[in-house]
Amino acid sequence: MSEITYLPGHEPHPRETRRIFRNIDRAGYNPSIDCFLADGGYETLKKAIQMKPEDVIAEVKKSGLRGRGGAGFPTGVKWTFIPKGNTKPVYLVCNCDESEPGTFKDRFVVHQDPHQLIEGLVIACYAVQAHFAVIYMREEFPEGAKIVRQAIREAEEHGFLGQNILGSGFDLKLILHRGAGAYICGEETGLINSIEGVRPYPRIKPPFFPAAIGLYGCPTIVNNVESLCQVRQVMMRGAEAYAAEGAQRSPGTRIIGVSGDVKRPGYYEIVSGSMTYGELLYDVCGGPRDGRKFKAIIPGGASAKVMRCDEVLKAKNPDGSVKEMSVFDIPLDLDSIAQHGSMSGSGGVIVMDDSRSMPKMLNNLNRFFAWESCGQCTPCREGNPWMYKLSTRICEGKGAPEDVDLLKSVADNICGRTVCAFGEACSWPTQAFTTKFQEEFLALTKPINAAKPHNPETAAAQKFLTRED
Amino acid sequence: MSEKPDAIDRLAVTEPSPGEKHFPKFEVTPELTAEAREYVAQYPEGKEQSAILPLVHLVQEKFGFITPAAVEWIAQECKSTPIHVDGVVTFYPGIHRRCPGKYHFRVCHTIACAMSGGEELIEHICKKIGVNAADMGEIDPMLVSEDGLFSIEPVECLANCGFGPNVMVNDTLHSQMTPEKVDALIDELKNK
Repeated sequence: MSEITYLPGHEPHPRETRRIFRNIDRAGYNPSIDCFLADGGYETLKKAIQMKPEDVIAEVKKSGLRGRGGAGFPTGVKWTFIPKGNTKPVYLVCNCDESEPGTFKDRFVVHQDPHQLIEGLVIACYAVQAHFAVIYMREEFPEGAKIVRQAIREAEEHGFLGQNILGSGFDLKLILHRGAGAYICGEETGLINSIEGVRPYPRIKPPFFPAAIGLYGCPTIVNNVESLCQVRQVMMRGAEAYAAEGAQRSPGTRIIGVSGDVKRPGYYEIVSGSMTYGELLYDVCGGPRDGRKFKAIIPGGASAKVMRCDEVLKAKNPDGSVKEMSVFDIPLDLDSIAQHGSMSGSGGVIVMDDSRSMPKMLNNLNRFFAWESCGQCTPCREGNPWMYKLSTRICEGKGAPEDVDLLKSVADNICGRTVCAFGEACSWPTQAFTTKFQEEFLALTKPINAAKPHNPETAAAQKFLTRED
Repeated sequence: MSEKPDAIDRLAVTEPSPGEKHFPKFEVTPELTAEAREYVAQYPEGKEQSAILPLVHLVQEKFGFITPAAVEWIAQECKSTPIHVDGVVTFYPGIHRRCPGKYHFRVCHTIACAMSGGEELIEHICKKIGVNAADMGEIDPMLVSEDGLFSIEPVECLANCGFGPNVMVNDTLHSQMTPEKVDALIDELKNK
């Protein structure tokens, strides 16, 4: 294929490998089907649709592709969870509700290259034999919704969607469904409820694993935008070639979004495991701003546990000896950082330098989680505003040292006690920030504050507690 | 007993907003119904309820916000009940039950945007359009300027974290905003 020229100022870094983002910021490229076809689009679909559906699943399984929405579950394995002997219709839902703070990858796919998503989606639908698919897009992408609707129309006109796709006898109807600004709709069962037109409260698992009981009570596969684009890559390049590239347990490329205090924030598509966090932040992103030092990294979207840059981590060498390392030495793949207590999640890296107050950063996240809690489970609904109140009080200098412990204990009592993973997502930041940066929290507190009322109501109530005789 | 209407009472009324003069009043026309039925027909038979959100967006695009009358109409088209539609409508922060301004500013103030100045930008825009940031409600933080032209609402993550602070004006995203850029944008919209 010919050399690609990118828009000036948007050229990829030399250490990037652009596959999913191949056409992002490409000069002369637009989201129309003509551009995509000229670039070899829908050829992979033509190949895949001549295979048997089980062979497509086997191929994706063999590639070792893992989902890119955050949990990193093997995509091919997920597809096999549809119950055997199922007689109900099977649905496929594409999760384009990208709303984890720090994550911004799907936005560019749907705005600039939507046909690769549609092609990957049709292949996935063919593999699981779904005849009705939904792209669930967050409300904050109104232009993206227009672009994808247009792309669906074009694909229908060209016979890549609709009845008897490419003469294979396979039918697929694809629609776009827009959310309305709720983070919880990114949780797959909440998302399904949102499509069903009820309040998007997540459903309890078991029994509501979408692959068994999903949309309208039928088996449903929920895949992230990037995962579906990766499915196309697997089928295009073959499972072996795909599996051979990158980290052994999480092959392929990953899109990393870097935000915060680096010189060149932005999106970078790199081969999984091909560099460390240090190389990413210093070489690719240009290091910290002038005169500043890195202080903390949130490595995988807002809910991942924060890592301290000056923390000494211990890791095992292949020969069993223990080596000391810092967060900058951890390879950028799906699993390495999990050994050090955090997660690589959706690939959103938020970087903070030494000008940032950690209690303030946590307070911002607590506000986010308090606002976005759906309110179904009591620990999360009540706990999040409580954590927000506590961290606000500490930031305002009205907190007592005990408040820091209380803050952590509230978090400890949310995680594991809710229907969905939001409970973990909201408590991990508080647990990590208060443990790793405890001194910053304590520095803002004063013991005398424990005796002071926190608001006018408690001040009024306090007069009943003091004896005046 | 408090004199303030409670949450259930508030479902039945629409709080007035100066933005209303820039939007047509909600009415059901044959064209609107035809468009709505197209959306309903997208979903499998018997699953009309799924079209609640598409219809909410349809009404919001044309009329700015969701009134109790619109809720009743949506319920009727989706073969649902008004109280069910109210339940859905009140869940989502992206659905307005009070009219926004002609130009609705959504300013992101989640961590990455806050680090690049999102919070300061909110205060700046508030001053520029003549509203008081301290008046923002806890449940419905939207503020509308007196002439109804502008409204501002702090929102959580807009998924463009690398290029903050991000501001969405109606359907258009503006990234890497500065107070100067916002001023120029507001002046331009004012003279439109």
